[in-house]
Amino acid sequence: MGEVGDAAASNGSGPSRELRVSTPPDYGVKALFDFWTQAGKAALDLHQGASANLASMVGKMPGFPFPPPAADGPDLTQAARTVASLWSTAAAISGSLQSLLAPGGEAAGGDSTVEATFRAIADPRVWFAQAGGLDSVISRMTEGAQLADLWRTEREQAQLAKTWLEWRRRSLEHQTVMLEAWVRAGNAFNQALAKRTGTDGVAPSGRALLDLWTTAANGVLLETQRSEAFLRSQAAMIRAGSELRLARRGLAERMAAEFDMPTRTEMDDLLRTVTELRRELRLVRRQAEEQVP
Amino acid sequence: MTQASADPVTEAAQIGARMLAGTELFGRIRDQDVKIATSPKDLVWQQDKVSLYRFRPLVERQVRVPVLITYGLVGRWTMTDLQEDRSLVRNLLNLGVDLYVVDWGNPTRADRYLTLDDYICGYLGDCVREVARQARVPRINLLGVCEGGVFTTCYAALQPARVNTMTLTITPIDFHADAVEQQRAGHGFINVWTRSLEPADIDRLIDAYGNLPGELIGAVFNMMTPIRSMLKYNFDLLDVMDDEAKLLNWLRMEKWIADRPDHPGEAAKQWMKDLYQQNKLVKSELVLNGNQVDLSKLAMPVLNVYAKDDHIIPPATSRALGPMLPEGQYEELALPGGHVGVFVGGKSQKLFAPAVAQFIGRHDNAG
Repeated sequence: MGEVGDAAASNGSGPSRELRVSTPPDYGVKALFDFWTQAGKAALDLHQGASANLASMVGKMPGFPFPPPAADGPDLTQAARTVASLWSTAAAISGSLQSLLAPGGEAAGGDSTVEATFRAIADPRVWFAQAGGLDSVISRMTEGAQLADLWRTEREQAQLAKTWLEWRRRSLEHQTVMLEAWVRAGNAFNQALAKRTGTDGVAPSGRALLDLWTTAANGVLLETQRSEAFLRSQAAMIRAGSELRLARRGLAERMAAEFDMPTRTEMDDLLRTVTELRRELRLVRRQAEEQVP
Repeated sequence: MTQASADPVTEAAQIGARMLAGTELFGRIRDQDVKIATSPKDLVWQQDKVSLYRFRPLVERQVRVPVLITYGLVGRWTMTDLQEDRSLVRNLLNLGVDLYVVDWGNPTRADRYLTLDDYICGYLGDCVREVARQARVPRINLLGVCEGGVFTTCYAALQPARVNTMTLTITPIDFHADAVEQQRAGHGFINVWTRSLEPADIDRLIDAYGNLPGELIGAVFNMMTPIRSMLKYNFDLLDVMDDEAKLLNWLRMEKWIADRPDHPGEAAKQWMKDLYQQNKLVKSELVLNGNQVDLSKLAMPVLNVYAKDDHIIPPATSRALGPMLPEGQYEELALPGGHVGVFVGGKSQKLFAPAVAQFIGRHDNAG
């Protein structure tokens, strides 16, 4: 029996990230493992670089009335490191799970659909893309179109940068919760697999294997979604997403005002007025109808 | 999901053949072939984006007092008429019920300031008056579904003289009663999720997006069955893709799910804060148009239909209405299946419409 959970650098908090699996990863999975590890590190480096550049740029602006945003607060850095660490662990687990369905292996029972599906759902990225569908929806709605030409006003720029950093931090924190869940799901699956394999050493194959994973993952994910950590981090992410969108709107409205373009706020004022007028009209019409014998 | 066959090679060959046939079939089907809500109906009243339809009768009318179906702003009423052989609407029409439905339309940013007061006291009230006028009766039967059931309950408590009977379907009354069923995986997650938000966060969310985006609502629903959501385009689709009738059934449900309107912003704030968070309905603390929604004012016979395995509206949140009403005024019908299964499940279909028709038939007082 090999252990592949050692790659995870525990930060001393949260659940145990050690994983015991019955099958070592194959070479194909190792490539996947390396990809994730490097991708996690690259994401961390990119994030830190972008934050440092932003802070440097804002700090050099002449007459800038506020202190520049920190390149990376310690909490943000820690969040990013935790995510990168968890990516490594998740990669190891995923590699182990997918090695069960290594080319030429028996586990898929010759069922290419099972194999493809299992490979897909054992990929931790899917947990963000589908199981965490709300997260991706919020991300998409928040990130929206770029406003490259509107970076003119230092005060608003600083505010936007601040809200963006907050959004990134909250997003990383939430990803941490999700990745920890994925690690727990991997462990639960392995335990269930060991139990099902029994003394004859023959593992279930095909859809039975997929069923096993589905049950294990579903249980862990549903439990996670009710946890205080998940609810708190997701609420924080929603809050940060709203603030980022509103900050971006503030910048857009400033520019719109300069060019005598109507703004979202003005439109909302009009819509409120129209709604109230329609409400009054309905009431008057109703009263008139009730007076008709 | 089925277990693997004993012969992996045979199973793989079968799946290959099925995928081949399914791919050919899938390529032939066009969106226009996937029709939902096909029961013939006529537009009888309209105001702003709200439309009132009357279904054409399929048999001779057996019940004098008409029924108005009211769905919520989350999802669309078309679930009640998904397809010919899975349709509450058709089942009721075939039992001789005179049937109307209110369609809230597609709210946009222009509707963000519409409140629950507007929908319940305004639009729904106008629909009730119009149905009563057309039928020449002083009061009508209401059939509310989910959030529409809450609308119906509020209206009936505010205007009891206009309501002959009230049938609620998968309707939350006590939004905090989910706590008694939390041991059931996934049940009541929306209640937990909504309570986890700060009221100020809800305000900011609506400020930022104008409305509560339908896409966001759909994502929260998907979170309740996470792995199921992952697998549906693999195994669920694979299981039906070589059978045209089954594939069309599956695609009709997909079409309904995809049609998820945005929830008007101000009404969404009330829905999430006043009801999900502060639970004002069951406490008779909700105020609409300056009037308290007092559930003790519900004076009409009530039939409360709930789904035994409803993870979106846990049964306890619906059944909370029972103890609040006098004995003899309140009846319950527990149907097998989940939130949507009430409308499309084979067993529930055999029970649901006949129970409603029998209930309103017993109270068919047109005077």
